Formats: sequence, C-alpha cells, structure tokens
Amino acid sequence: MTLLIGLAGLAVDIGRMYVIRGELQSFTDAAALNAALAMDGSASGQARARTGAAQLAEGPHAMRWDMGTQTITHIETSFPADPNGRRLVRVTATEPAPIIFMRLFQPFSSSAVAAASVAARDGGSVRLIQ
Amino acid sequence: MRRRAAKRGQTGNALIEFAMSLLLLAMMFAGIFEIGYSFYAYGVLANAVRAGARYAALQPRGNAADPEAAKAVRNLVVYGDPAPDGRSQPIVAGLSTDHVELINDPASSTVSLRGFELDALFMKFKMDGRPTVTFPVTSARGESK
Repeated sequence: MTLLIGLAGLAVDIGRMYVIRGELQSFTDAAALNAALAMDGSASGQARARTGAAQLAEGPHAMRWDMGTQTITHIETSFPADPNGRRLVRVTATEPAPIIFMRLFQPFSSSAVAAASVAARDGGSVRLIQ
Repeated sequence: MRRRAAKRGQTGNALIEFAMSLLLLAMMFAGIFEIGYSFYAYGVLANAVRAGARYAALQPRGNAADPEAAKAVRNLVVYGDPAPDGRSQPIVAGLSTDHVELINDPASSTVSLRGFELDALFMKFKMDGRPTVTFPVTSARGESK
C-alpha cells in the first residue's frame, strides 16, 4: 500500500509540479520580455518594468498556474548587471505546488516550484537570453 | 479431516479477498493513469499554446488582422506546424483549430483554448480559457509608435 501511494505520488504530485513549472516558465518568458520593453535605463523605467512583468498575470487574459486555475502572485523582478552593456531584467515566479500523496513520506503540504527568465534589451530590440 | 475442511474454507476466503483487492487495485491504477495522462496532456497543450502566442507576437503587426496569419497560428497550436499537410494529426486527440482563440492587440498576442474537452479515459475535462498565454510584441514596436 505504501508502495502504491508512493507510485501515485510520483505520477500525480510530481506530474503536477512539472505542469506548474511549465506554466510559470511560459509566464516568466513573456513577463521578462514585457519588462525589458519598458526599460530605458532610468529608475522610472525600472519601475515600469516591474509593472510590465506583473501585468501579464492580471486581467481577463491573465496567465495562471496549477492547470490555469490559480493567479500568479509571487513575482520577483531584478536587474542584473551585464558586462556587454545591455540592459537585463530577470523575472522569477515561485508558487507553492500542492502535495497530496507524498505527504505520507514528508511533513510538507506544498513544494515551491519556481521558474526564471532573463531578457535583454539592446538598443530597440528585446530578446530572451535565458 | 476437520482441519483439512477448515483449511479449504480459508482458501476460498483468500480468493474472495484477492478478487476484491484486485478490483480496488485496478481502480487505483486507472485513477493514477487518468490523472497522470491529464497532466501530461495539459502540459502538451500549454506548450503548444505558448508556441502559438509567441509565433503570433512575432508576426508583423500589419498582418495582425490577416486571416491567413491567424490560420497559421491555429495550425501551429493544433498540429505543431503552421502549414501542416493533410496527414497531420492534432497533438492531443480531439483538438481542432476551432478550439484555438487568438487575440491580437497592438502590443501583445494572446492564445487560449475555448470549448475543448480533454478526453482522459473515464472523465472529460473542459478547457475553457485555459491554458492562456500572452506574449508581448517585441518586433517593429518602435515603428508603430
């Protein structure tokens, strides 16, 4: 029985985490691009970049997680330095994936699943670099 | 003699118990399969929708209202190919281009699934508005402004 629940845990809990990671990765890719479009080297540009990153998790076309049911709320935006002189923005989304079956083997009821993307702005063009 | 009879009675019990537990086991396996398959299929759909939104966002904005460009996006989501030949199969059974909703804004492209039912053996999961992916337009934006 323990073995069975372990197998169910692998299939269901881990499968769900992979789906969530994929959803968060799509979101951070789009959010990093959106943030990079707003950057202009100024502090207000960075503030707009933060807004731009969060924008895609809001409204009627919001990107969501957990098979499209939950609002993405834990979004972090940072601005790493780039040796090549481009403007970089890194967007990280972290959400607690619920654990159902694997709770039998460990005390946590959720596991943090994260995705991160880095977009670069070089002059007028914007692209994902990571 | 008496002992043998008792033993025989117990083997009958074991058979019934085995049959009952087999039923339970089969149901559990079916349930695991069903949920596992749904997650797998959802992951495939989410990736396809992402690819479609990115593709749509990279099209020149002058083409945004072009029905052929929209058709290419829908084909990319459903068949993994913007220009599929007649033999292409949808990436998930039952998915058709009618299920793909594309919204082209001046600054972004959104792709969602509408009215698609994911057939997972015993249950059907309705996908209305999920997955949804929006990508910002990154090319030729400076020209349009």
